[in-house]
Amino acid sequence: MKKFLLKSLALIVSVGILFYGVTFALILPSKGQAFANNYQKGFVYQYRALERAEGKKIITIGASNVAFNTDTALMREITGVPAYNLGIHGGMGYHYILETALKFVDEGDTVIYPFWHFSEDDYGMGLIWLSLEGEQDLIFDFIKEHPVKALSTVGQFGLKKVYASILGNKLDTDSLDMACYRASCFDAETGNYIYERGTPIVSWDAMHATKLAFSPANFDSAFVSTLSEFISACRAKGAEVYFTFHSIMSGSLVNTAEELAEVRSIAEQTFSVEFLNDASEVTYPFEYYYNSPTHLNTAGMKRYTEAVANALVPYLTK
Amino acid sequence: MERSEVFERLNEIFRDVFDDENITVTEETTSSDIEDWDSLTHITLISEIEDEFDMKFAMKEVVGMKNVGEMVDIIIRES
Amino acid sequence: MSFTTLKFLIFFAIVFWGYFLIPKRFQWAWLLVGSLVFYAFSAWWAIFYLLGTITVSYGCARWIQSLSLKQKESLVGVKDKNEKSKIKASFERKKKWVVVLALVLLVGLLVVVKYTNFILKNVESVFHLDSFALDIVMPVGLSFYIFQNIGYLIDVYRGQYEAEKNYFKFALYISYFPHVLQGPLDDYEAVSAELYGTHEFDYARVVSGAKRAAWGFFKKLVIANQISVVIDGVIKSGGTGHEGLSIMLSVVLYAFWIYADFSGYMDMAIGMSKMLGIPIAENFDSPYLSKNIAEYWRRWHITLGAWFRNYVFYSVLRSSWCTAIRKKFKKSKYLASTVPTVLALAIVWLLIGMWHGAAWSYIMHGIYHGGFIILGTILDPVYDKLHKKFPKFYGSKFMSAFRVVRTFTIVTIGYYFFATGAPSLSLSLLKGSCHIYLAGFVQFLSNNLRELIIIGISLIFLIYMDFYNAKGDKPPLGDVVARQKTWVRWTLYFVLLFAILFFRAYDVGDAFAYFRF
Repeated sequence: MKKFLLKSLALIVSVGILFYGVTFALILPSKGQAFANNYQKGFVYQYRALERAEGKKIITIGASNVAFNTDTALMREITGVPAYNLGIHGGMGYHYILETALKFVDEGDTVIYPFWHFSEDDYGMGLIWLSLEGEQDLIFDFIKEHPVKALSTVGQFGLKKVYASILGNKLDTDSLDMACYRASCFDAETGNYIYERGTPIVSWDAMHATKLAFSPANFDSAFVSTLSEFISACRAKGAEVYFTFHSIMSGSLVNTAEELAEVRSIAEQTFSVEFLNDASEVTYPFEYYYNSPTHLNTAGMKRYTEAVANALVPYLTK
Repeated sequence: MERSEVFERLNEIFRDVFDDENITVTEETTSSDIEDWDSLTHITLISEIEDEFDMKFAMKEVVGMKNVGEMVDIIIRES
Repeated sequence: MSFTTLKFLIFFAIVFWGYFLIPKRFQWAWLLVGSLVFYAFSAWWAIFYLLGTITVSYGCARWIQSLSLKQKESLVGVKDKNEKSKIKASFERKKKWVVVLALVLLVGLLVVVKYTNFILKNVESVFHLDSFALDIVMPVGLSFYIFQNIGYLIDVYRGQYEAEKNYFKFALYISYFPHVLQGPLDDYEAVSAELYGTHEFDYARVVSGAKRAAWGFFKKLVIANQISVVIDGVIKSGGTGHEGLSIMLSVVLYAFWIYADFSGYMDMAIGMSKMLGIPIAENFDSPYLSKNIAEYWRRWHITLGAWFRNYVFYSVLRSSWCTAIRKKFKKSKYLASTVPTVLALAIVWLLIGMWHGAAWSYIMHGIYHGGFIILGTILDPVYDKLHKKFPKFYGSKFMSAFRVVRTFTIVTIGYYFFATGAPSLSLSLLKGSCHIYLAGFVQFLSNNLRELIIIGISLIFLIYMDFYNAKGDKPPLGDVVARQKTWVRWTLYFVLLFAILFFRAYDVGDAFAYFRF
């Protein structure tokens, strides 16, 4: 009996060592990355820019709405404060974005959170690994913080990399096979999304088929406690947090004005956070969007950034 | 009834049911020895045997019978 | 608990080590506790269904047993033949009523839980009533353990063996965790001795069982899951957005998916049970190498076919009703045997179709398979003549190969109905299969290239093993492996485990195909 136990343990351990050895040998090296030009690299550019940040700053956090709506260069111009984004794809999960942002929040900083709800355990490991490829410090940090999640999903990514290296398809799409979804669309120094976007590339009908809605039901206990913890942590560090709304194309937001007002007031009271803008202020017509009702084109991005930045200025000068 | 007599009459029935004059059953014969003897023809065979020997097999015997030898035991006992 | 989760592996490790560390006389009780814990993990309320059905069949079986005992006692000293048969008949009648009661309860439970909504929906559409649905959640494995209970009860009624006196031992027979969720449907007689017996830790047997289980993991996590990644979208959408060859390939892959999934589960169950020292029934025997549909059902889901044969098919054929039909056609040997057989087959296959699910798709699938078997039965004399006239041709390898391919094709076409669970989607798949567009097919292949490579290589192993096992004259592959040098064996184990970790498809979930039946 002991023989079997020892032998099977030996087998399992050695397979495990080889498996993880091979996987990490694949994903750790920063040279020869398979996904260097993947859109997910944008997250790393944002991260590195934040690492280099000195002094007071503004950080806007969230999903792809952050990348497509907020022009950090323009925000800095208007407010006079260096601005950074952290967020490129909702699929990565808000939990990961929030805990990452907290690393960079310092005294005197301003955190802008375009209000959106998220679910209890929304780590999108596929996308996170795509971002983390070759970034050894980020990988080790993640393993330290979430060992089980990391070790149970890293194998899949290692496999993806093997395929991408042999069979091509380094974009690893999930329908992200568009020119606007590349690492080169970001400014590598600042992490700002600078891809020039003109008129909408999606039809009016298709754009209007997508609907978004806010609801009091979104305020479940898991969401509230996670976001509250984040906000308290920011404040404990001497930073301040403001809500706003990300831009949603008119006709795509299905809530009535009353419903929105209700959600806004619930948010304000639940989290004790002020809204910089009302949803109506940042709802624009079709021409300002690019490929989805929350992704603005360059012209729309300018309007939105001005709206948020100008709303923020009075708070900064207090 | 003698076992040999039972076997003689059984041979007739087997040859008739499976349409094969070359079949000769022994104590050890099972369904895997005769090509057409499967669940679909088993009941037909059983019914013919019951008619011939004027007896009835119990269900558990129909299902559980292992070879022709057992079949003969039951026939002798029941008729 | 799904077998392919970390949670279950920990559970099994505990059960396994505990089994060999505790005093032997408690081994069966340990298994009972483990099995109940295992079942409770699926849903705490499900335990009531399990124990309820166990109690019904245990109670009724003991009742029948006591009636049989009384019958024996009443017959003591009775000489008169008429008196004897009167006593026998009266007890048989009583026993029959007990069986009927149990069947009403057990089958009734299954029908109510599984088919209420189906019946309601169909009645509503026929009579144009307002839709009213009753959402009864079916506990996992219900279809399987109710059938196992029924089989046991009927066996006791037929006098095949005596009813189990120990309630807890009987409970173990039904709830035994390797077979409670998806079978195999184990014969009480075949399994009880080992199940209740004591077992020593036998190194060779444990390794053999572990190897079998590991192969099952490979079949499920690699083959089945990777196929699922490729075909799920195609099947679930009825082929929308895909051209003909892609749809056809997806349905063919479905045939391998369901085989890898279900037989993989069996390998895990049989392997793990073997590790404990308890052999349970085989459920698959290279089914896709069958030469006709009747043979197919002796090789696919073997215990289900055996169950229907023993408890439905034979019962119908031996009923007075069928005997009367046989007498009617006394003049024609062919009709006397074929007509009752065909009728019994029709009933059986309608029921098998329904067993698979409360949907017309499954019923149609059952009728489809039953139809081929019935056709084969009706045309039996024709085939016989042909075989006798052209023995060389019909015995040739070409003919064998043709029959295997033909059977596989028939089964695969049947999957058009079975895979979607909805006739409209099946129709959509069929229609879509006719629109062939080569460039679209090439695109489909390249989109799924990495999965298809894994699937292709794995299937080569799977198919080779099926051919090897079907030959029957060679030693089991497990033994062949066991005879190799240590470094060869360890390399094989290593490669298998590594392949499972590296080539498994994630994000597919841990549910199994037959979980919902």
